[in-house]
Amino acid sequence: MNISSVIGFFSSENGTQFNLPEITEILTKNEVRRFSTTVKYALYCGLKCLQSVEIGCPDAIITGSGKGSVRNIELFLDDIDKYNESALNPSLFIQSTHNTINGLISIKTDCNGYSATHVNFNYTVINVLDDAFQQSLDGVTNNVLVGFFDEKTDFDDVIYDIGGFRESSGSDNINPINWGSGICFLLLNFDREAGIKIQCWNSFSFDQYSEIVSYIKKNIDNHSQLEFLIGSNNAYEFESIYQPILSAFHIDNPILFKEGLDELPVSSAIGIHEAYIRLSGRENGTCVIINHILDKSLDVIVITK
Amino acid sequence: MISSLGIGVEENRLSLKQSKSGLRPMQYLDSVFQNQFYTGEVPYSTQDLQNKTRLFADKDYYRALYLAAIAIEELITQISIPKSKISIFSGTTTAGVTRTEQEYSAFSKNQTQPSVFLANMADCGSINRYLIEKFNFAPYNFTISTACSSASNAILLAVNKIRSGQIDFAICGGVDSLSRFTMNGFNSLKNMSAEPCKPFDRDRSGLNLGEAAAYLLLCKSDIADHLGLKKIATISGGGNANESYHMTGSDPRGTGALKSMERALARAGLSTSEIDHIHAHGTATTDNDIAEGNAIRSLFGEKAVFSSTKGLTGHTLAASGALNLIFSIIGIQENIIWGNQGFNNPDPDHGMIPVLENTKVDLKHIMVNSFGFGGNNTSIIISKA
Amino acid sequence: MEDLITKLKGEIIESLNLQDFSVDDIDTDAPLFGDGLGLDSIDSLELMVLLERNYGIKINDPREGRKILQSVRTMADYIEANRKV
Repeated sequence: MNISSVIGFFSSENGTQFNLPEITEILTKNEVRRFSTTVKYALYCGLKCLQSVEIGCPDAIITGSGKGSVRNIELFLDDIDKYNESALNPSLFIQSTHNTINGLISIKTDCNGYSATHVNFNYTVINVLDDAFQQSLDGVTNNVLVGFFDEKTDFDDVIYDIGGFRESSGSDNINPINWGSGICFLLLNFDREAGIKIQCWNSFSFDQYSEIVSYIKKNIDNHSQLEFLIGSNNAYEFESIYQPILSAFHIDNPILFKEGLDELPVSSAIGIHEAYIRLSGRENGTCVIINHILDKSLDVIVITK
Repeated sequence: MISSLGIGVEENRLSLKQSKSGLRPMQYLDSVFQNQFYTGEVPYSTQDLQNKTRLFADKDYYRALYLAAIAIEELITQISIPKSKISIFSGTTTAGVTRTEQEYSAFSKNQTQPSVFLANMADCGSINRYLIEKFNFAPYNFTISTACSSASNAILLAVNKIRSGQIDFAICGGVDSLSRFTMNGFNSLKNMSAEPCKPFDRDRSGLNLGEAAAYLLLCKSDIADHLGLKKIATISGGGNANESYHMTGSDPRGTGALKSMERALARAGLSTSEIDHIHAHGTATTDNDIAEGNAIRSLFGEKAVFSSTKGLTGHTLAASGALNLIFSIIGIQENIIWGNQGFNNPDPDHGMIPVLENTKVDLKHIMVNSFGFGGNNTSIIISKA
Repeated sequence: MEDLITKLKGEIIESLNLQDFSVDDIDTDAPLFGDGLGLDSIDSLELMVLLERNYGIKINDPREGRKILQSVRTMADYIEANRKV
């Protein structure tokens, strides 16, 4: 699957830093006033992604979020308590539906194609790429607008603390994880022309070291300039998976694509975004993205040009 | 399966044959709507549901997971395929929000620390996560959340994955439980009725919420033959379309519904005359029924044979597509079209009259509709095996 | 009544987050929906929430709500006649 364009925004410093663009160039005032931040900027990203390749209407829209539109759920729950289950604002409920963004993009672009939203925590990014590829097999779909988003809330921080996923105790060189928010949209197309291509994508468990190495070997061209983009943020005991894989390929200078950015359940999208930017500036090359999502699974995605 | 009509396929079958409604004033959910609003509640407390599961008594999970577990436990007793070869595809909108509601409320008011359980989260993906952990299904799994069409989309994706040879076996379907979140959400949109709902009726005043879990095992026909598995039904085709009209209201002309039904027919290679029954989405909201009624009329004509079972079960949100699919399979087995409860007078806005009583008819192909918020429309055609 | 109208305009702006509008920009008798402010059916639900939260007026039927919400004037008249707060 070729990537025609990528737009992404990711927070840093525990969600406090988020360089968001001026969006009234694409969204109407009515839209800006009503929608939550994530919804607004996801809509903006999706539309901008299409605009940048002059596609008015995608053939399909597939989005994915690790946890879904949690902020709106919490705000609505706040209101339920505050107003004792009466006089409630419907906008929050409407926006908490995880496929809200698909619906909005569809309205703005008049897209009547296939639409799906995957909310599957650590499997989300791979699921979405899989579904997009599945659509390419129907003989009718030529492109898919793919989007990833996740948002963080204060409640998340507390939950992750309790689960031991925020601060790791014990070892000296382990940093606390900061959770954040992020949005990333890609326009995938299925023509066979040269370009930046998602070669393969799969999800593995932490004990599948040899399968991971074989998988990568099978999908890379040894003559191409090879870069490894890893999701290590030096925050976890089970990050020890990265080193043996890197050694198997004699890599001693991997790119830590999450460095300086917050963690997300769909953080593999950060890797895709980074790989696209790197390959855009080159004639050819291969980026191998390896990313852990908590202690749940590892994503391996190979992008080539 | 488990719904307000019963636990397991046979109880649901009996309720359908007797037109026995599962709609009652809500009893178990702690909410101002309790004892006031009719819902299709599964008539057991969450504790009772947990006790009915085999594998989920070890700690406190959440209601929707117990519903899913009960459904899956029923399903796997009927099959002898190694679980590790089965991929699970679930549709859900709220998953463990009942748990989140309680703990978030306590956190907001008193800064009470959430439980360690919640640290493992009650997100949409957690349904599959726990099912895989307990039943040892394959790690390869999908969770789709597209509002009311979630389970239908999960089923269609499973069909496509099997057809393309990526997997051999899939358990697919969906689950949603009642929650304060959804009760209040639909009430805030003012499309929820306190009284038993009236799909397609002129005087309908909104939907009743319901809850259910419904799952099916899918595989290719020749593999079923090879393994000696009993083939209960065939999925002939399906279609999905985004309506691009409005975030929560459907286009009164039913453009989105029309597209998904047309795509399903095209995929199945069937004509409208070959569809014996349309098992409608029919939620009894003003918007859905006008849109769907008009779409059915423009595609199938004024005498279209259709009905909604939400007058018996309420709207089970994400699970509804899978629930209605299984109801349609039971219908094909019995050669009965399930009657549309709650209908008294035709609505001039769409002019369509559903099948009112259970009707004995030779059934070969049934179209099952699920239309969700955000304009996500899915139709699946289920056929006699 | 004028005080109520002015107050109501401010509440409408706040509740619907109409950032570019001030109280003076809203014409008391102009239709709220369709052109002008460009409000839609979700906004009408939100305005009904406003009536309930701020004035104790509960409207259950959205169709009845649409008549009441035609303009700021019709809203103010209805509030005067029916307010519980």
